[in-house]
Amino acid sequence: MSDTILKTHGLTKKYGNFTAVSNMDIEVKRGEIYGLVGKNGAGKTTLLKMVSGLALKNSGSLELFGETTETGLNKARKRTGCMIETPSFLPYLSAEKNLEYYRQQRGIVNPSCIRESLEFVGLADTGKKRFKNFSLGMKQRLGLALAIMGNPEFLILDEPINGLDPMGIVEFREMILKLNRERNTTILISSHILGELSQIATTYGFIHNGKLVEHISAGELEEKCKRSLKLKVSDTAKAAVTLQNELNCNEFLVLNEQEIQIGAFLDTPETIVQALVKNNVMVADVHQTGLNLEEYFIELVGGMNHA
Amino acid sequence: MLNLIRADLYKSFHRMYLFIFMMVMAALSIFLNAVLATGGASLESSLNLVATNLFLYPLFLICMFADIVMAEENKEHTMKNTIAYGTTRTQLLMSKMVSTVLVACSVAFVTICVYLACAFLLLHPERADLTPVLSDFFLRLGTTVLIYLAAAILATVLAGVLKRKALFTFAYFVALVLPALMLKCLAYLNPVFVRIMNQTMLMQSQIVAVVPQNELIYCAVNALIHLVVFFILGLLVFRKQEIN
Repeated sequence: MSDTILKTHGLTKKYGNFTAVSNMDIEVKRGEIYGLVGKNGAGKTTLLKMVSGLALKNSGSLELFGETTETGLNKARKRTGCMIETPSFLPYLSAEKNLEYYRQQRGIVNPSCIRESLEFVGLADTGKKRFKNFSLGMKQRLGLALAIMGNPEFLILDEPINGLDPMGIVEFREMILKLNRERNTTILISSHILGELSQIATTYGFIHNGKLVEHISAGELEEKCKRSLKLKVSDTAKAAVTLQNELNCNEFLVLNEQEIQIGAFLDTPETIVQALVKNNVMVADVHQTGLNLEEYFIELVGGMNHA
Repeated sequence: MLNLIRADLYKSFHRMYLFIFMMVMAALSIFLNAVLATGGASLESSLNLVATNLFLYPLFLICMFADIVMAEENKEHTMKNTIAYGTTRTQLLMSKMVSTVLVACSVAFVTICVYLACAFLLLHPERADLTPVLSDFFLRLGTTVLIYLAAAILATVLAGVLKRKALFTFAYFVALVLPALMLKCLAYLNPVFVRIMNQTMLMQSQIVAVVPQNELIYCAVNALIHLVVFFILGLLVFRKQEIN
């Protein structure tokens, strides 16, 4: 069984003179929660639409479950679940009847998959209430219920938490994590609510102006964004010895003759200052450094805008 | 593709307005025969009335079935749920065409059954042997059904391609009426255009009631040509369609 679920190479989509996605190379591995990060109009939805067959590519290649031909891709898409843009259903049918329509369409033999999906997303008790009377949160949940119906191996979610209330966002996050952990579902999720994405994604793809500008694992990103204390001291050598001997701390990095970066005591910097002063090391400045996902993305994209 | 058709039928028969439409058609059939019976008309004249006057109207009603099966999906953006599951555009369009035809046939079947039942119950035949009258009626009806099939394919294609329901309905009516109208105008310049005008679906649905029986085959061939052309053009256009 291949480890790669989705692989694109040079994928390009143009609408007239506008290039929505340009030479996109991404790879999603089995078991990952791949977060697509980008501004509005960056090309996230277009990319997901091409993966799910809704938009036709202009050039490049697309590999899904190892399939690359049009027939093979359509076969592979039967192993995926999708929720792209706003969830769309027949307004005059209830949640259960809408799912029954798609169950019949997909030829899923076991009707119990409907109840299971609705229970999973917390919509089991909506009864005869029609889709047109659903709240936005309920619509999003039904969208997820359809996406997971039939236990897909790969889930494509485009801005799934848009319009959800804070409780809904937390529940949605838990559902996605549950799917990933319990069913080993690989998830490709796009969002511009980066705080949320940072809590679930295991890999990130940063998209800007239709191009993938960075592909990074959550671990690598964490390392890059790691919080630390930056101290301006009179003697970095003496400061290093003090940190090791007095505070038993080895998580530091001497940046230059005056600056030292420390990865410990983040919440109690006064402990460090006290120890350094006690050992005749003057401290001129202490401040916390490090980025969250949002700041990292802004820095990455901002840098590109100014380049 | 059978699954797609089955699901479409499930969806369509959960529409209240399909049943209301069916009931209205049945009620009209009863009303028409009741009026004829009051006027002392015969069974033969009732069947003749259908052939000469009412074969045209279903042509305009067909877009309602394409609306239930296809246009609504386009409007509600639900086709993306089907395409994203690996259904090809060709499969989707073909299944919708078949579903439109099946839904239309079910309504037509009920209407015809009610109409004939009322006619036989309320009206008296002029002659003892009704076989030639009925066979002529059903032969003409069968030929007209081919025209309806072509119209159903056209309506489904337009419903799939045009996003707005109003636009789809307008385009369908234009496609039905405009060619005949234009050719009728052109016929003032050259009478040869009358012959071309008579080949349009709108004219054929009226001609089919009056041509001799042995010429019905030409009407049938004409309808089949329309059907194939609409089918191929539809597939060519829909295959390049972006699904939103």
